[in-house]
Amino acid sequence: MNDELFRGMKPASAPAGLRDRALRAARAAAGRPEGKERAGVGFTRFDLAWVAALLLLLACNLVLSARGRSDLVAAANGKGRAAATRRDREDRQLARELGVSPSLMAAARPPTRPNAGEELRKLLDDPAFERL
Amino acid sequence: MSDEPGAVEFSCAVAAVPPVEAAVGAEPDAGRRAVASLAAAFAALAAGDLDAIEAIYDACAADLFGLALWRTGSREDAADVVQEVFVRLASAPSGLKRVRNPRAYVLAMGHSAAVDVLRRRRLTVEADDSVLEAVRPDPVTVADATRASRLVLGLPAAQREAVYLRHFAGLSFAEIGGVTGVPTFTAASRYRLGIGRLRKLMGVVR
Repeated sequence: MNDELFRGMKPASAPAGLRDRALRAARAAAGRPEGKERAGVGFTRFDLAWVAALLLLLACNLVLSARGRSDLVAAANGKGRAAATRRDREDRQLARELGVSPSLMAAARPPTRPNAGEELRKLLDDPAFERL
Repeated sequence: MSDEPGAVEFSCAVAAVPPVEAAVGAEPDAGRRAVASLAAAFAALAAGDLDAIEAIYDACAADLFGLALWRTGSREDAADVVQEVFVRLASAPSGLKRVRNPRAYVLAMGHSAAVDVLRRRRLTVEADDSVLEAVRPDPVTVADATRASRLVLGLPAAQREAVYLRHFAGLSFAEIGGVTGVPTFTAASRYRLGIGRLRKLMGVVR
C-alpha cells in the first residue's frame, strides 16, 4: 500500500444534492415493473434469443434430416426399380426365345444338388485332381 | 525527488489518510458490522423494503462516486453513474437475493455504468475534474491535490480505476478483478503499472 503517495489527500466527495437526486430517481424507478414483467413474459431478452436460436437449430435439423432421408430412399428405390425392370426385360426375352411362358420362367429356380458338397470333397481328394 | 521529466515535488506535510484496509484491520468489529449491515439492507431491499436503499446509499455511495469519478474523470458523469446504479438496484430488487458480496456487486454495477458513460461519450470530452481533495484546506496541500489529480487523470482509465479500488476502496486484487471483469493478474498489473507511473511522476521514492 502506498501511504506516501496520496498523503494528505482523499478522493473527491460526491456533490451535496446527489443523495436526494439518486434516491428520488430510485424510488421512482421502483414503482415501475421489472424488465421482463414489463415485456409481459417471464423471460428476459437474452432468454428469448436463446430459446429462438434453439428452436431454429432444432427446426433446421429436422428439415435437413427429413430431406436427406427422403433423398436416400428415392435414390435407393430408383436404382432398385431400374435393376428390376432390366431383369424382367431379359427374362421375358429369354422366355420368348425358349418358347415358355414368362410367368413360368419367373417361377423357375436353378436346380440344386443335395450332395454337391460331398462330390466336391471327393473331387478335391482325388490324387488325379492334384496332378492337374 | 525524481529525475523523471514532468515529475512534481509534493510537500506531503499532512499526516497520511489511513487506507481502508488499515482502518478495517484496526477496527475489525466495525468492518464486520458494516458488511453485515449492508448485507441486511440488500436482503431487505430484495424482500421489497424500498427504505433499505437509503442504508445501501450511505454505505456505498462514496466508494461508488469515487470509482465513477476516477474512471470517467467527470463529476457530472460520476453523479449520473451513481444515480444509474441506484435506479437499477431499485428497479430489479428480486435479483439481489443471490448477491454474496453486496459492496463488490454495487461497485461492479458502477464500473459497468461508467464504462457505458465513456462509450456514449466517445472520448470527445477531456476528463479534467479534480479526482482528489486535500484533507485539510491549507493552500499547499490543496495545490498538491490539484497537481496529483492532473497526474492521475493522465493515466489510462483502467489503471486509474485499479489504483482507486486498491488504494481508497481497499479491495484485494481478486475483488478488483471481479468488479472490473478481468483476471486477478490483469487487475494487479494495472494497479502496479498505474501506481509505478504515479510514483515516478510525483517523485515519491519508496
